[in-house]
Amino acid sequence: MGLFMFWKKKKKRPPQRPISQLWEKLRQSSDFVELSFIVGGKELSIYYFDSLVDPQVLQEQILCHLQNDIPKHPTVRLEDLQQIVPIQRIEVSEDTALIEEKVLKGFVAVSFREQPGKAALMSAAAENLGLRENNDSENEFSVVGPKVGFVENVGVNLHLIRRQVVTPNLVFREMSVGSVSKTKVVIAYIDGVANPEVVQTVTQRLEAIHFDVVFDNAILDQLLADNSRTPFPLFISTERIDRAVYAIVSGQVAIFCDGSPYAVIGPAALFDFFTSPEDYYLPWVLGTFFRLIRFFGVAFSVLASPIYVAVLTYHYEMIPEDLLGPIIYSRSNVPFPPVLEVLFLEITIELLREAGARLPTKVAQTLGIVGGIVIGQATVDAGLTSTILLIVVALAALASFTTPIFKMSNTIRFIRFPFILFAAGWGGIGIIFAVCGLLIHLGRLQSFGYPYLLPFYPLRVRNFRDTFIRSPYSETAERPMFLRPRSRFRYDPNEAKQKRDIDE
Amino acid sequence: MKQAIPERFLISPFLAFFVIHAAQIGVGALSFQRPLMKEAGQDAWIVVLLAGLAAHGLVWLMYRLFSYSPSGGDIVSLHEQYFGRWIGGVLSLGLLFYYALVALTVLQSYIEIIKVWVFPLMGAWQFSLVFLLLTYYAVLGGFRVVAGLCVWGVVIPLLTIFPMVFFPLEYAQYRNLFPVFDHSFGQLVKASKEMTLQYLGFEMLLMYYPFLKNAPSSQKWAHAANAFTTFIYLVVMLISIVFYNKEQIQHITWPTLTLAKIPEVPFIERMEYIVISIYVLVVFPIITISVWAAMRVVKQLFAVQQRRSLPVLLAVLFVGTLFVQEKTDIDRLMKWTAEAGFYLAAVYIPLLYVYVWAAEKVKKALQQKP
Repeated sequence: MGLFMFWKKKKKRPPQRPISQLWEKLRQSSDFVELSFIVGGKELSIYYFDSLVDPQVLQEQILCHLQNDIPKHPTVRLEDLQQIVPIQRIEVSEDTALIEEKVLKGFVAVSFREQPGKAALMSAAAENLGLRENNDSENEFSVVGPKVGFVENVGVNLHLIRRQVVTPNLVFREMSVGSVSKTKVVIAYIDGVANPEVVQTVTQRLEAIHFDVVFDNAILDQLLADNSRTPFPLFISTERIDRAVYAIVSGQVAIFCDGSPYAVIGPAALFDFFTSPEDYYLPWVLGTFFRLIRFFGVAFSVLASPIYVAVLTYHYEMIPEDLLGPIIYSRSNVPFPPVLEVLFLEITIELLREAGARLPTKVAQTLGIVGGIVIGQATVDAGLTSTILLIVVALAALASFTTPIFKMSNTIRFIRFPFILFAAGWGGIGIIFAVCGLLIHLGRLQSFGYPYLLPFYPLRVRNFRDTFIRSPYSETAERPMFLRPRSRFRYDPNEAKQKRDIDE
Repeated sequence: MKQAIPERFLISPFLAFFVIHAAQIGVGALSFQRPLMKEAGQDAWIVVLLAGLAAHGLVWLMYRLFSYSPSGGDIVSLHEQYFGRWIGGVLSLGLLFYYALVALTVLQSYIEIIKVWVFPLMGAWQFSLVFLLLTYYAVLGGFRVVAGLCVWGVVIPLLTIFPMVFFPLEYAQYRNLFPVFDHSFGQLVKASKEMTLQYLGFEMLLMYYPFLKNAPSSQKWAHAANAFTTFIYLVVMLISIVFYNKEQIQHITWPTLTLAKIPEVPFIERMEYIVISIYVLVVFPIITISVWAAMRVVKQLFAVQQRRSLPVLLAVLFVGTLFVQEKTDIDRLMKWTAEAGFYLAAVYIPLLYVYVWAAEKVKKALQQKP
């Protein structure tokens, strides 16, 4: 035990390197700049990375003031620089590790000869250099509603959130993830609404992450997931501000990560992935209609080609007489069993999609036309597939794209394949086997410890108001109770519900 | 052995409705009309009600029994408490065999239907293999997942299969219902024994009782589930009586499936294929819950990890399905299960209740004496 303690102590306090050693190390890079000059009898040195610093800020706010104002105050110390230099939050530190981290993040370090080992750190980082200024949220497009999306700069994203959630209870909790990238990660939630247990879980899991470079929130998403062996996304990732704000207001937690234009939102339930912000911008009747269309699309997309395989392989007696003619006619030239036929077409469509996604937009359009029309027509003419199947597969592909969250539409296209194989093995019974397997799998999934199938299982009938149907706003004052929020209502339910009698 | 189960593994009391109902309705619902009408003719629907009432009584008795059990234990701990380690253990072991038998019977009789109706040439072992693998996956998820499956196993068939039963009313002969009360009460009671297998399923409660949050409050849901089961059997029975005549039904093995042939839709025929397929969702919860219950007995008795014992039981069931293939064997199996279930639910539970009640009385009297 004693030995162990010794080791622990040693680990806690790494030996402090002298600051000169740090500068020595940084000098290896050609973009590291070290300026030394004498102003008003003071010998001062300035250190920064040319590539990280905004030259305008450096010249106008730092150099200019240092050179002009220091001679006026001959007794100035590093701690007093805040009075001279118009830069917010100037920090003076002796901690070499901190200085290193800050300089690597675009701070300018100023040190005086007379105060060795100390440096004043001033932020001059060119934060938006090379990053997008704005994002039109084209990946989650909606016709109605705002078209502003998150950008790669986490500061801008936080600004966008705080502009809509004007309450002192909105909490941003910052942490750093990634041993190399030291990425700034921010957890956003409303104190008093979000369940503290969730916030704690999120914080703990983020702290437990060991990774080198966090390229995108999608990596965090996977590292945070409760179960990594599932094709289903366990958290929503969105680039839409309205979606993130809605989630935060209903008591979920949003995670932002510097360098990623996506917010990760959890805990998420399966049905959150099929709602689109547009449902809420349209009148509730239309919103409900389109949502139902979307659910139908999902069911169709998963089941259409398996049913084709099952019926044509095993249960052809299920086809009515009138329909049998066209099916026989279109399949008479096809030499393959239905499974091969379906797999061939499904994989073709996946290829088209994948190729389209990897190519520049203009080429992708051409490819879509060439692939979709020419190959489709040609395979039918060549007798490789039947026309009916072509329609089924194309419709199923179309239906899978109605899912508003990209990750979920990928999942839906993927789970179709096990269904097809089960259908090929055991017909209709095989399809239900696959459904059973899917239901068990979904029943076992959790998102930040919350069951994934909420509110269906465990059943929360009261929260059905915003699942299959998008109820009018007079009915949806209550927050989804399955998130166990700290406060129950989003707005006053009584005022929203007031009804007047006829002619009153 | 008696540590409380952590709350995150428990289910809400109202879910008892789904778990009990899902375990009750099984393959029997496809074929119960024939033996019942053989005994009771057009009065078979009264038998359904009678048997339903009896089941209500047994459910009530079970909840009474558990009110004696210390801090919501299951039947195994109850056995141990009142019969000691050895005799109680033997009794629990009997329960283990019963649960395994239920799983095997349900699996085998459903595969029989698949073989007769859909895939006459395909090896039955394929289906039992897939079933048991899925069971493995479900039971690994714990009781919550099993209960979740029960919810789907009630909701989906109720929305898809149940409406199909009403289509044959187009050809109904309501005169078939008359004369009412043509059979003596004794005949009806005797016939109601035929309904044993149909109403069995609530005896799984003996094992998952401690998994219900605030378990005593789930009693009304258990009764609701039993009432709902009665309602469904009643509807199916009445429709069968008005659709078939008494002689005809004696020649039909699965009258409910034949009813499902009647609906006509322009784009699809032979709806019974859909019914048989979706019936996987009806059968599967029963298999998982009985396997889960059997595993729970093993865990409580021998302190063996469920992760270890589960594959063993599933392998035994798989081998079992290989041996029981003939229709006569399956019928015998069903008969055994019905007998075993009858003696468990209608004889053993009341006796146990009386014993426990008396033991408590004696204990109280002894405590008061000194």
